[in-house]
Amino acid sequence: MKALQSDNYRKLKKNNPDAFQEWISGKSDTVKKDGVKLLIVPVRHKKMAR
Amino acid sequence: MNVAFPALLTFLLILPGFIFRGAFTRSERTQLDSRPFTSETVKSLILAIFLHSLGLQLTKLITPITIDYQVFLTLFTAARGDLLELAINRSAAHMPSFISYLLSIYISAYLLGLVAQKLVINLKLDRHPLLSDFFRFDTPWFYLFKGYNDEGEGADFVKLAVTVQQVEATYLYYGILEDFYLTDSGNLDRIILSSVVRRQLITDETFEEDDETDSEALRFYEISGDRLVFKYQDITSLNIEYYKIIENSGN
Repeated sequence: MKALQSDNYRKLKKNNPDAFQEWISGKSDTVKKDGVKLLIVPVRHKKMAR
Repeated sequence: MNVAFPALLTFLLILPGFIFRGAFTRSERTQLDSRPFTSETVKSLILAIFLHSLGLQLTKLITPITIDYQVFLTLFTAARGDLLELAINRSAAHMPSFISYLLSIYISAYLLGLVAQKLVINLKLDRHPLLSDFFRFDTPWFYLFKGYNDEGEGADFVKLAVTVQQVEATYLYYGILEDFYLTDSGNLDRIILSSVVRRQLITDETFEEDDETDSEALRFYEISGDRLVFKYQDITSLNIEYYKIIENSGN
């Protein structure tokens, strides 16, 4: 069963497959799309708990 | 009359209720509700009565066919004699219409079940304080991983932190949740993550807030491969975080 994944996420991941790998390993907190920086932030907590 | 015939007729008539429930409680080939058979039967029976009431009204409105309830009751009660013969003769003449009615009600029940499931989820009837007892599916993992809860509202994807006890140490894995599989009873069977990194659990004590990015990049190392599968039985704890992607206003 597919987990929650919005169209926005799917498009970004398809066009920029390495960005999420970098984000999750803590190298970057942004994803670039058409020259615009996009932030990945938790829905409820401002601070990323790692 | 063969006593099996009324039983067969009963089965054919209550089948739309089961078809509706089957479509309503199933998503992506996964059963979302595993309540006892008796509970399902009661619900299916009520639904079948409702669907037939609707179907008969529609038949009456859009076709010239009139329903002869006397024939139906005669066949249903396994009566014998002239009354049965008359009922068989009259129903045999309308057999194609009866089969068409059954097929159309079965297809309608299936489609209505699918639509009802979408409506219940999108209108949040399964999360309504008064209606959730009736509409909520018996699979908490489905709600957690699909983001159908308050925390998942507006999220774009789910990140999981999973701890797994291995021989030498406990490891913490981070990854984006791609897929999950449930058992027939609604428990979690396995999860599939992408973009996975891992570190030993004990290394989180040296974490410095001011040096977050560099520190994390050093502490974690990437798992080569596109997907990592975890069996639920191997997981000791599981942390769920919902994330959204927003435009950087500072840029």
